[in-house]
Amino acid sequence: MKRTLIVLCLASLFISCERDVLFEGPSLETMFGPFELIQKFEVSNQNVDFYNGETTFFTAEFSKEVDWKVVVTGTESGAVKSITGRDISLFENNATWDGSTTSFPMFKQESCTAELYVSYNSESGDSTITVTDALIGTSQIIVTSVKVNEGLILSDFETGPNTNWDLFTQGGSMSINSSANSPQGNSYYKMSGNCSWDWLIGMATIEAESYGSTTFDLSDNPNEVYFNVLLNYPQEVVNKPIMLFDFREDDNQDGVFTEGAEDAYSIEIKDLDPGWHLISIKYSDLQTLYNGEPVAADGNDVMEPHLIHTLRVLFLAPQGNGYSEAHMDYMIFTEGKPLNP
Amino acid sequence: MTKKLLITGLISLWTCLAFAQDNNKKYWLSGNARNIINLDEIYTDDDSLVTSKVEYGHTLVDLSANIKPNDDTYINAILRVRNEYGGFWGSGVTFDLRQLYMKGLITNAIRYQVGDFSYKLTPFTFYNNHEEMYENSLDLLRTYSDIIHYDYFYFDNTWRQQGAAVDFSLEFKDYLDEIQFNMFTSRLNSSNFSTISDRIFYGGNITMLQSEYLSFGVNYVNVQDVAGTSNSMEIFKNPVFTANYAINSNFDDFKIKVEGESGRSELTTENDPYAPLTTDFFHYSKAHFLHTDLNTSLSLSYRNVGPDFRSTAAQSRRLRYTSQSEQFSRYTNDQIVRPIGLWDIYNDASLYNTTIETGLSEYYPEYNNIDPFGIATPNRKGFDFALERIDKEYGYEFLVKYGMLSDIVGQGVEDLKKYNSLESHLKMNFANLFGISNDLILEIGYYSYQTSRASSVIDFSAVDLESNRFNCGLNIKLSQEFSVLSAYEKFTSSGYDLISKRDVYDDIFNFERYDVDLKESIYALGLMYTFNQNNNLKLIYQDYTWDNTTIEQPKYSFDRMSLVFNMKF
Repeated sequence: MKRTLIVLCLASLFISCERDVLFEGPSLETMFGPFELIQKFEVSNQNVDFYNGETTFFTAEFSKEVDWKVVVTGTESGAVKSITGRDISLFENNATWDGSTTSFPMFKQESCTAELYVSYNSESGDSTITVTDALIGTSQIIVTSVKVNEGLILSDFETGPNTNWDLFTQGGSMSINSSANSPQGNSYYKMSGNCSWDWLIGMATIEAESYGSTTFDLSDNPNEVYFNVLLNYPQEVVNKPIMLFDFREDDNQDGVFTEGAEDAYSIEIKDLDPGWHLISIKYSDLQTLYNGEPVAADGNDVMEPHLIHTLRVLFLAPQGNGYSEAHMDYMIFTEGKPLNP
Repeated sequence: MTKKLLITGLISLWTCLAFAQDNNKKYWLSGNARNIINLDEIYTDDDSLVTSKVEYGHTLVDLSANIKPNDDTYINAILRVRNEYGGFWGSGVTFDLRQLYMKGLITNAIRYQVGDFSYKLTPFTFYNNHEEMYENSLDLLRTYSDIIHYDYFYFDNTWRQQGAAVDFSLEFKDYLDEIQFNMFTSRLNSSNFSTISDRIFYGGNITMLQSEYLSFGVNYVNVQDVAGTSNSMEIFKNPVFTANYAINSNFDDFKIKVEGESGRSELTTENDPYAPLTTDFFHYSKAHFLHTDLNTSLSLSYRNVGPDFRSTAAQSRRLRYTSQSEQFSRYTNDQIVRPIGLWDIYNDASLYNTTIETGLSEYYPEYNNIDPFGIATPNRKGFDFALERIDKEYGYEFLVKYGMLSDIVGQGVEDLKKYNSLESHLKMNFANLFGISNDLILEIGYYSYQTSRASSVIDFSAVDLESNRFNCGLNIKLSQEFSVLSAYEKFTSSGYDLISKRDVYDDIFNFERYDVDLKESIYALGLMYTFNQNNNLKLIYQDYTWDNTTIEQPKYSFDRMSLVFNMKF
């Protein structure tokens, strides 16, 4: 008995199971090894028809894993799409372009330049050299048609707002402005003015009837519905604008929205940074607001996007602080995911 | 007001106890007293603006009230009264309750202790490893380290805990001599009622003593968050289960002991989607051969501690990794941060942890790159050898150790690092040799530690870091009371390594190159007056120099003249 135990114990001196990993942590070869471009940067489809659902992807292969970045720039629009990753190669799964935009404006029918940048470390004697955003390849792409975004477009402002919208201004104006600075198409909606007696400068009341139905044709799931709009606050404007989007539901489906008796949910956008921004908000994240503060809903307190009767767009600015201005473009409801412009 | 009442009450209690000590030893007073006065001076080439000298110190008394209200109960409370050097008429005086616990016997069979307690299990489950450079250090240079150990309750590799501990044993007539049970529970940190939950630590062991020749035990510890003590849903868990054994045998003039431990750990944070489940195992065995006639022993040990083995209470480090010390934290006219060194490790209490911490913390590669988390350091396998002889007739003892370790899996590459260590230490009392009555003790040691990795992939993965330490001390006892103490220590470290950087889950996310060309030396001279074995007074002079050419910071040196009084009563 004792001898058996001794043998067992001594045996355990030399017995140890093998681990199934070769090394811990990131590969040193990847971190510090030499960098080489094994396969040059190429584009799979140089004439891409995004409108009909085509995409294009980029390919390249490196000697080691690097941080890479593909930057596609529209030569006419100046639109920029960035695709980034960390890998040893670019292929369909990690470097596909679907026609979307990272920095506004959106792409137009135009030729584009695609550039591949890499960042990595490599050893040099006793020290490490850090290479950041080194350009290692360029290519050309022609966008034969632009991407189509699925959803209910309220307006892209290319031909003016819907004529059935009810517009109200006091001390200001709301009008279509054609400009190369438009983030989508050639025009955007300009709201500007100075109202010395009120915060409200302008308001657009958009009833679902303008689109052929008493309520907007949307999913009944508030977690599925997103409201998207592009907003810009010009850098030179001192009095920062406030945009309020007010979604009014026809809870009892009597064809009208009754204030104080039916639900209204809002989103207030303020402290915008200058430049065009995509604002996307899930309907379930909206709140009932009173003077900017959340309060209880007035109606059945059930978020029902398919019962939205009216959308009000309010352009406001602090009273007495002078002229204010905001730009709006491409107002669209999407379902399942926010707008991927 | 409450604090004043508490202090008044405690002082009254201690006063009563002082007068009640002869009352059948139901109450008695004991404690420690200490006085330190330091005069420090820093020297650098480029420092004409900053005050280079500082004088400071303190006096403190730890008054320990020992109360035995009945035969089965013992209560201990230690009140610390500390007065900073320069504090008069109450200013600079602090009163702290240093320790409070109750212990006793239940039904004359079960021992318990509640309140503060010091505890350890095995080196892989619950163990407070010594800090770097403490082992093999010379008596005179240990003066301040021992004070830190006393203040932070670093007793016999235990960690100070607050909670409860229970132990009892069952004796048998046949097959087994005894089964011992030990259990404890404590709290490592408390909830903030928002994002941090209570974290408790519990465990124990069962040891079966078959005879004086054979024993077998199982150990279990777990560090775990308590759900519901905060709003956080995340629950940290680190259970460790091990089994250990010891076999003793006598063979002619040899005593042979084979002992070992094997086990497995898990580490995860439940409800944290990013937290991995980390599991691994370890094996450790040691054979020890003692020749009783020669009083010489040889030991051989083998360890294999997996890279993902995690045992919070065995891998917590005493020494915190920090870039800034408390003393002369900045120097030169540019007021740059003074790099810390050997001096700070020996002298600066602010570098030390008082509690167990989760995660593999950063360490100082130059001082210990081989097993910074003790014998439970993950990703190590290999052998350690030790040869020791104690000769009482000629009054000497020597110890030679050789370690031959390597990684189990590579770090960043498949190539493994090799860790070689050589330690040699001789302590000799010439009193016997020269036939003199007073001790004349020489201690001399040389220690070498090397980390290396040959590269088969890229040159950058090759590493080579070597540290060498030499120390020598001579203690001359002039009379029963007076002794002259001296010490010299030189430490060098040069080369480079790629040090792993870990994230909050202890996974390696990066390797940072660490270069060093460090040279440090301390020499010290002391005069000690020994009142009795519990009471001495030391006058010490130390000189320390630091220089590291791999970082662009000027070298510096320290002088310290100090008076250290220690008394245990």
